[in-house]
Amino acid sequence: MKRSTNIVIAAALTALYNLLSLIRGAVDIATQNQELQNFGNGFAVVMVILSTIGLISAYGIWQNQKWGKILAIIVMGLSGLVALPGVIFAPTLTLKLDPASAVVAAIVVIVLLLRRPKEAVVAE
Amino acid sequence: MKIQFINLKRKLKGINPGSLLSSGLLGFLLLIYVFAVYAFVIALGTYPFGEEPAFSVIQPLNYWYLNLIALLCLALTIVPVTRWLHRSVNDLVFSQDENLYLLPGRVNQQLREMTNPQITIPRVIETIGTALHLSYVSLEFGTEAKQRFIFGSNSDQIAIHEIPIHYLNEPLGTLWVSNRLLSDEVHSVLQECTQQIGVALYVVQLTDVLQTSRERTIIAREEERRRIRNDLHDGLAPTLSSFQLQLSAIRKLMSKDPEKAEKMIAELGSDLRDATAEIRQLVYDLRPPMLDELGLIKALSNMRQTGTSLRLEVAAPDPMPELSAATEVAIYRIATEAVHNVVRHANATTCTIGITIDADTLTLTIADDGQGIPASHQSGIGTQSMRERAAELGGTFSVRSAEPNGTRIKVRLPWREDNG
Repeated sequence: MKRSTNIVIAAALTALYNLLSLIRGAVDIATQNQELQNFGNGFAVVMVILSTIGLISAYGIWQNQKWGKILAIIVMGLSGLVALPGVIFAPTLTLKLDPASAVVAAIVVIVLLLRRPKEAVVAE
Repeated sequence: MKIQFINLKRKLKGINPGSLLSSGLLGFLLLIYVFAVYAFVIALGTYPFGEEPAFSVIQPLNYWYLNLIALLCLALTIVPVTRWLHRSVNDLVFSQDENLYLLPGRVNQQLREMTNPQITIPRVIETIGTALHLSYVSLEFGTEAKQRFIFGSNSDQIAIHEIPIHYLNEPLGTLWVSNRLLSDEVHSVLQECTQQIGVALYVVQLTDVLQTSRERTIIAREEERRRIRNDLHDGLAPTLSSFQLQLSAIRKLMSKDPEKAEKMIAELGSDLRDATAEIRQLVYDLRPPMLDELGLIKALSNMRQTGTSLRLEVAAPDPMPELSAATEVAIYRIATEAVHNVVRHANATTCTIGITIDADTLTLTIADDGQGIPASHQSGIGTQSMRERAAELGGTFSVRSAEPNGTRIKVRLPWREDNG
């Protein structure tokens, strides 16, 4: 199967971002992160679920499946939306960079998935 | 209440899940875009970060200009971004990425296996409609009796996009598709499909023409056979029988009345000359003997027009390339008919027969300096006959008034060096 560069980058970025989120969520649940105590474990659980779905969507993208692309757009979009308040409200630059990178990753993945390559993607 | 519920149910039933997904995704992405622009403008505008309480940022009185900048950014970019998102989302939702570029191959496969267009064309448009998720596809083709096949329906009254189908600059039909989903990629795939359909329709059209031509050839051959049979049966056979009777009578009279026998022999001689002329006419109708005796150009030059002062001029390549028998006969017959018409109707003093040959076309022109074609003129059997003779060989025939006066007939026949 031939894959365009857009697809390869989007799949890799989605997989990496969601893998990191999954690990972080799992660590937060395991260590009972104090920063998230205001939200309870619910936030971390939602993160883990979203990341898991995100990983599945990365596989879908890699397989050049439409469902994978749509799922990735939704998951990355939600992740970006969840991270957006952090861009505004985080008190320091370091803390702002984390959600900002999540938003940028989400935008990059969405743009890559929506942008059609010039060459035909032909399944063999 | 119940009626409203039924109407709502119907409306919901009519909603395309793809459209729903597309609209939802578009709205979702626009929401992200608006929030992202706003968030980044505010975040950048409050640099150096963290010096003020974060919540004060969204207090309009403190940072009203940042809200204004965010609003301006959105106002300037929202239209092109929405357009791009709309097109891209439609592309993603409605096209089958994994199959989109395989579609022309599938169409080609179906067309290659075509035995009957009535069966294959509906299948092809169904394939296109299904693969591209088009709610409506329609294809019309045919030169005389147009046929139209429709896939799906346009109940939503979506704009229809028209794609003409042609091959070698010859229009062969039209493909109509619902316009909503035509991204550049889908459009190019449709163009490729229509090109293949065009080739297939052209082949079908040629096959029809060939079949019709074969039928006409067979009919013409049978007509010719019947004419010869009738000529022999009704003309020559009774004449020969009468000769036999006359000979018997002469044999009986030879001894009794030699004078009368001599008279009958003279009559028999006259009848024999008539019979010979009849046979000659029969042979001439099959192929003018002058063509074999003199060749085409001399045969044309020697065309005798009794009782007229018409001056006949023939201009042809020297040496004249060898032509096929069919072409020679067609040229001779058309020229004969044309010159005959000049003598009868044109009141001309000069008639010029010209033959020119270029790479693949032989052009025969017959021009006179007569009175031209009257406005009230209607084509007769002779003109029709000339036109048919040209068409039989795959050529064209035209007749028009010449400048400053006279009539000009132009016949173009296909020509090949190897067999004329």
